[in-house]
This record gives sequence, structure tokens and C-alpha cells, in this order.
Amino acid sequence: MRFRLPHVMLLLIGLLLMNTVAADNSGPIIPKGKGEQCVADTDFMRRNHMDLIVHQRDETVIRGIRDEPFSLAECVDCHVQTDANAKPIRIDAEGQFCSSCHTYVAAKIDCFGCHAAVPDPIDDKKLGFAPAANEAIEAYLARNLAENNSVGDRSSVESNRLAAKNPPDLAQTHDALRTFRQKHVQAAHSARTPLHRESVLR
Amino acid sequence: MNPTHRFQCLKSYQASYWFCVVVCALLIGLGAYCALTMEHAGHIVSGMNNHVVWGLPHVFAVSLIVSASGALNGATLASVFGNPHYKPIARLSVALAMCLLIGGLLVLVLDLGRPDRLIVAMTTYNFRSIFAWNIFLYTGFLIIGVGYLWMMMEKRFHRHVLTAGRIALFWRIVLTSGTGCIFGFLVGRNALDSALLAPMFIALSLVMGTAALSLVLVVLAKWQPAVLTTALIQSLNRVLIWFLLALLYFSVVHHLTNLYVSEHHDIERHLLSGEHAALFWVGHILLGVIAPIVIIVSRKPEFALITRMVVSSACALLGSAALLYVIIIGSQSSPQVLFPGKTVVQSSFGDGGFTSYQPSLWEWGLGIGGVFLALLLCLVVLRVLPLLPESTHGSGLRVNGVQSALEPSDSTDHSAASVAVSGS
Amino acid sequence: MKSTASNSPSNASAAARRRFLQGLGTIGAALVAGSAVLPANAQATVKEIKGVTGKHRWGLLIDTTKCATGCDACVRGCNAEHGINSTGNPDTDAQWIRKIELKDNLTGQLSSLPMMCQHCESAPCVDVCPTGASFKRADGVVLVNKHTCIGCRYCMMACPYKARSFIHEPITDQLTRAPRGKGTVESCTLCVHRIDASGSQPAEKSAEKTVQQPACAVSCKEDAHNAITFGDLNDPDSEIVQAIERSQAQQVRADLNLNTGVRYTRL
Repeated sequence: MRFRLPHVMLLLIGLLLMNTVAADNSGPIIPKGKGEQCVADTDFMRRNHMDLIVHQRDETVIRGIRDEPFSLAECVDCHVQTDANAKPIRIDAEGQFCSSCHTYVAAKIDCFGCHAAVPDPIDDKKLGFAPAANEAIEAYLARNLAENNSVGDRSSVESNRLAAKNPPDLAQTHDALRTFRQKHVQAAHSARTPLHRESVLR
Repeated sequence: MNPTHRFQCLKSYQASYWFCVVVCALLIGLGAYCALTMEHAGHIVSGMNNHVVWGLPHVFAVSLIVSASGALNGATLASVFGNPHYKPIARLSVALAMCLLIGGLLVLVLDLGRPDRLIVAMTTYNFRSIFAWNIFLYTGFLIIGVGYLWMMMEKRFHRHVLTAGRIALFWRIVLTSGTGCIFGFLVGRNALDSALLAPMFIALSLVMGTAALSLVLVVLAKWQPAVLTTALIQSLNRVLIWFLLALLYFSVVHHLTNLYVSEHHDIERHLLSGEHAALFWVGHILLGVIAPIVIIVSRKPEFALITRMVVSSACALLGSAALLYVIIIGSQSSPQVLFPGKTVVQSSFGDGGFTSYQPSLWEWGLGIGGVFLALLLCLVVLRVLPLLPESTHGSGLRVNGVQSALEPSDSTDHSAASVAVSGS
Repeated sequence: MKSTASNSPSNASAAARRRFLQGLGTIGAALVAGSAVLPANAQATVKEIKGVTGKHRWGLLIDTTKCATGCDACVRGCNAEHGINSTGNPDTDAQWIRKIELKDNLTGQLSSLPMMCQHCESAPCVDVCPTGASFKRADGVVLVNKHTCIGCRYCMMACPYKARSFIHEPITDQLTRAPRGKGTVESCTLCVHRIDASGSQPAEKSAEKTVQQPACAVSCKEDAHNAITFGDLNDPDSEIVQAIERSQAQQVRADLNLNTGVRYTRL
């Protein structure tokens, strides 16, 4: 049998349909993080988490600001899963929080080649925000969300365009944030981890 | 300027052309595999360490980059200095220069710790860094090369060829000085801390570029004999001698000045009588300078002119690469003196001791892949653009070896060239 | 200005007066700067104050007379702090700090000292870095921004102290406070995370008291050698500056004029 153009086209369309159907059924399964709510609205985070992290990274590395709210360490802290032995699983491992989505959209993560993908062991951990961070979070969000959501100079045109279309609900975000922070700080205190602990060696 | 030469694409369908293409492709594949391995496993699979941080890939890359700027010589001699013998190969010379540069840059990039971040290197600059300047020098060289070729190939622009040639000449001198300065201003390293490296690199580029151009011409003459005339061979041999003498001069002065400064005595002892002594004396001095000069100057009839060119060029190329190896590796394997007047008794990091460096096969693969990428690029470009002088005997019909193809056609080629020149 | 000076207690030391005047100057400058920026954007001033400034310049003083031969407490402390594990090959392992034992060629006198990033004021590594990943923070700490480091190793070629390490192998067991990964260059950070943690303390307190010591200094102290002093080189009254003055501490390769942030007594 000879292949003719209609055959080929039918085949292609069939493949395309198969693909869509498959995609509909197997969206990424994203493990749930700790607490009720992330540092900002979920939709906002989905679109903008990379900008928040990039912005925070430059602030931290170059200007030494380590008490602003959007740190990668906090991402890992809340979203890391544990295995049957209560041992944390790398957040970039297959099916885990970061990789489930990133694999789905085929975007490479370039964080965990250097950064810790699990929280530090509990006795060696510096948990939570500095007390001063309460106000810092508020100020930070007000500042950056008000600036039409363009956090950092590297935020992409695309995400700006998206955000301009659906501006995040500021009040809602703030409320959620406040709840979250209170919980988080409480958790830190209950774990009896000092905020700025003198590091113990050996 | 009214060139009367006619140019054409490389029109060889001989098995030898395709053989060359396949060999190049295979070696490029090998190089790609090596690069991927090094990127995946990290530099631990290379011989490099925290003492010798720049290894064999850098020797290859710098050799290619330096050859690139030297290969432009053909075009410069033709359009700036008006040497008629080089007019037929001016276009080839520019194309070869660009291909060599691309090959060298690729090796350099693939040896980075994070080659995936090339975009960072292209978008974030620290203008105090000579390295950042070099990125502009390299891309500028490619742009100027394209412009230069265009001026030469478009009849309406022929009057601009001289200007383009002058710009290219200026740019390549700056480029080679810049490459030399990468090494020249490292105050912490006694072997490198010298402004003499910049002019030395220019001499090195003239030697390596001329030698590379000569060898490529010999290969091309197999398919298109018109590219090589006896006069051109004689001229290439002659300039190679002068360039070699210049290189020897700077090399000697560099070491003499180092010997004069007593704080550099240890490193000089290392370079001239230590681990790399054989490479320096046998590789650079004997093979790289003396042998080519003797071969070219000797007028023994049993060696054909073209054989002399091939052997001397190959020697000069290898010898210069050996010199680069001694400069790059030798300067790193010797200790950095932190405490003058004191001896290091013990150190967990080998302060005060000499480091040995053994390049791994991955590094060889990467470097060789870069060389053959440059050559393959050149083979392809010559095929699609009319850069070679039109053969007077129909295109690419000679199946014989270069030597036999050339000897009988010498007189005709020569006269053809001189006729063309007298017309200009 | 004169009247304010006469208002200060007459029995105050010259240093105290100097500090007071400096403080006045700072407040004045801040007011001027603040009034200039305020109408434009009130938040900008908040940003201005945040982050490290050139007010401090952090540095170390190594007392080689106290540094014990064969002791590597500082190295162990540093490795533990930054999660640096040896693979058994010292030539490719990261060595942020290393111990060197020296013998004087003339007198035969033995000495011992740690060598690490000297946090130069005019750092060659910062000059040569093509992407600006190797940089000096406002407070004088020389760092590698691993987000923009492409791993070209030019800084390692340029460093006169061999203080930098290239990561040759993939790493998986990093600590949160010390991100480090394959293909980038790294070196002593002067325990910058500790300095910054102290930075959120109220500014009025003296820097000496509140700033956490780097891991090497803490380890050295715990081993009862006390050979490493950390402090603010910009503060003429600080312990480190006083000690440098007293001991006539030197720079390694002072001939290069790099104005290092790490000084050595009895070099």
C-alpha cells in the first residue's frame, strides 16, 4: 500500500489527538505543602515564583539581605515530603513538588545543583523569619505587588502581561500571608529553634 | 584595485573530499562526546585540578584563536600590502580565519564549568576584565571578517577592500594582544607576569596562522590546483622564516628578562630545566623554530618546494603549540610564592611544590574536535561560497597527488597569476 | 559644629568625641539623603538602609605566634560550617582554608598559619571575572555569585594566594546556609551568612559585640589557641585594628598592594 497525503495527515491528526487526551488525564500531581497557604496566592506563585526567587537571590548574595520572605530555603522547608522513615526526600526528586510541575512543562530547574534540596537536619537548622521580618513581608509585598507585580528587574515580559490581566487580590494575599506567617513563626518557636543561633561546631 | 581573478566554489566530487568531510565529522562527534562527558561528570574526569586550572583544552583553544588571527595574513598581504601572489587566496584566508576562531571559541566554551550559562557570559559584562573585552574582540573579528569578505566578493565594493583590510589588520593585532594580555597581567603568577606576552602572542599568531594557511592550501590544491602557485609557496616560506625569527626573539627576550629578575629564577629553572624542559627545548626551539627554518633554507633538490612547506609548517605549528603548552601549563604547575624568604615545610594544598598535570583523553578529544570543527566549517563554506581562484585547467579533475599535480602546472599557474596581476 | 563639640562632656576621650561627630555627620547625611528621596518614593529610603553598606569592612587578624603547628581546628570548623566533605584528593577538593607550615630560610624559625581568601580591597579575582560573578560586597567581603559564575577559572589564575577552589564533581549534600555546586568557583566567604544574621540586630549596638564570629575563629577559640581575630577594619577602636597596630601585622604579598582584609602578625 502506498502512503498518500490524506493518510499521512490522518495519522498526524490521530497522534495529535492521542497526545491531548493523554495530557488531559495526566496533569502534574503536585504534593501539598505545609500549612494553609503559601507566602502568596497560589495563582500568583505559579506564575511568579521564579521572579520572586531570582529577586531574592540577588538581594541576598549581593546586598546581604537574608530576612526577606521569599527565600528558596523556605520553599524547601514547606514543600519537602518525607519518606516512610520520616526522612526528607529531595524536593527536586521525581514526583516531588518542584519536579512534578517542571517535568510536566519541560523546564529545567537550575537551583538544586548548588542549593540544598532538603532542609538541614533539625539540630543544625536556622528556622523561621527574624522578628523584624513581619513588617518586612508586608512592606515587601506592598512594594512589589503595587509596582504592577514586576518583582525584580528580571521578571519576564510574559509574566508581567499575565499579571496585568489578572492583578492579584492584594488584601486577600495579605490576609493569607499573615495567617501563614503566624503559623510559621509559631512552628519555629515550638521547635525551640532560636532564630539566630550561635552555630555549634562538632 | 581591480582584481581580475575569477573565483568559484570548491567543485570537487572526489572521494578524497568526502573522505575528509567524514573524518572531520567523526572527530567532531568524538569531541562532542568528550565535551558532554566532561560537562556531565564534572572536571574530575579531566586532568585539571585546583593548581592547574587551565589545561589542554585551553592550549587547543588559544592555538586555534591565535592561528585564526594569523591566518588572516593572506588577505592582509594581498589587500593592504598589495602582494599579488596572495590575491587569489585572500578570500580563503579570511574564511579560514573565521572558521578557526569559531573552532577555538567552541573549545573554550565547552571547557567552562557551566557551558549552559553561555548566555550569562554574552549578556553580563565586567568591563574591567580583559576576558570580557576579548568576547567583544572575538565577535568583532567575525563581523569584520564577514564585512571584509563581502567587500571582496561584491564588485561594486571593491574600492573598499583596502579600508576593510586595514580595519581587519588593526583588529587582529588588538585581538592577539588581548589574548596575550589574558595571560600577561596575572600578577600572582611569576611565569606570566610580563607585558612581553602580548607582542609574543602576535609573533606566535603570525607563525601559527601562516603555517595553518599553508597546510590548508596544500590540501585544497589537491582539488583545485590553482590555489597554490610556486611564487605563493616561496613567499609563504619566506614570511614564515621571518615570523619564526620574530617569535624566537620574543621568546628569548622573555626568558632573559625573567632570568634577570631574581624572584623569577625558580620558575625559570622549572620552565627551562624542569618537567617541561623537553617540550620547551625540543618542541618549541628545535622543532618549532630551528627545524622549519633549516628545512626552508636548505636547497637540497631531493625535497620539493611543496614538501618543504608542508614539513616546515607542520613543525612550526606543533612547536608553537608546544610553546603555548609550556606557557599555559608550566606557569600553573610551578608554585606561587606567597612567603618570600621562607620555605614551605608542609601544606595540605601542596604550596611550594610542583604539580604534575596529565591531560586526560577527554581533553584531547575536546581539543581535537574543535580543530576538526574548524576544518569542516571551512570545507563546507568553500563549497557554498566562491572563495577559491578558478582553476585554469577545469575544475578538480586532477586525481593525482598534490606534488605531481603541482609541478607540471607551476609555470602555467605562475604566468596566469602574473598576467592577472599585471592587469590590476 | 564647634558648639556641638563644646556641648559634649569635656572629659570624654578623643575617640568618643570622634565617634559622636561621626554619628552627627551620619545623621545629617541621612537627613539630607532622606529629604531628597522622600517626595519621590518613601519606600526607596527603606531600601537604601537595608543591606550591607561600606560602614564596616570585615577582616581577620591571624596571630602566627599563637597558631599551633599541626593543628587544623580552623579547617575542620570551616568544613563543618559549609558542608565541605573531602573526596580524598586534596588537589581537586575544595579548600577554603588550609594550613601551611613555614621555615625561615635565614633563622630556621618554624611558623604555622592558615591561608584563605585574603578579601583584598583591590581584588585581582574581581578585576578579571568576565561576568562580574566574582565581586566585592560593600562591606569588603569578596564573594562568588554562583548564579552568574560560568566556571571559566580566570579568577583562580589571577588569585595570588591560590585561595579559590573549583568544584570538580557533582555535590548533593549541601547545607542550606552554604550553597555550592559543580562547575563553579568558590572560596572563603568570611562566613557571610553569620555576618548577615547579625546584621538584623539593632544598629546602635557596637558591631564588635553582636556580629557572629566566623567558624574558623570560633573553632580556634574552642581549641584555646585564639589565633584568629575577626572584626571591623573600618573601626579604629575595634579589637582587630588595635591588635594590628600593636603587632605591626603584615599582609601576605604586601608588594602587590592589594590591601588585604586578612592580616598576619610575625609573618
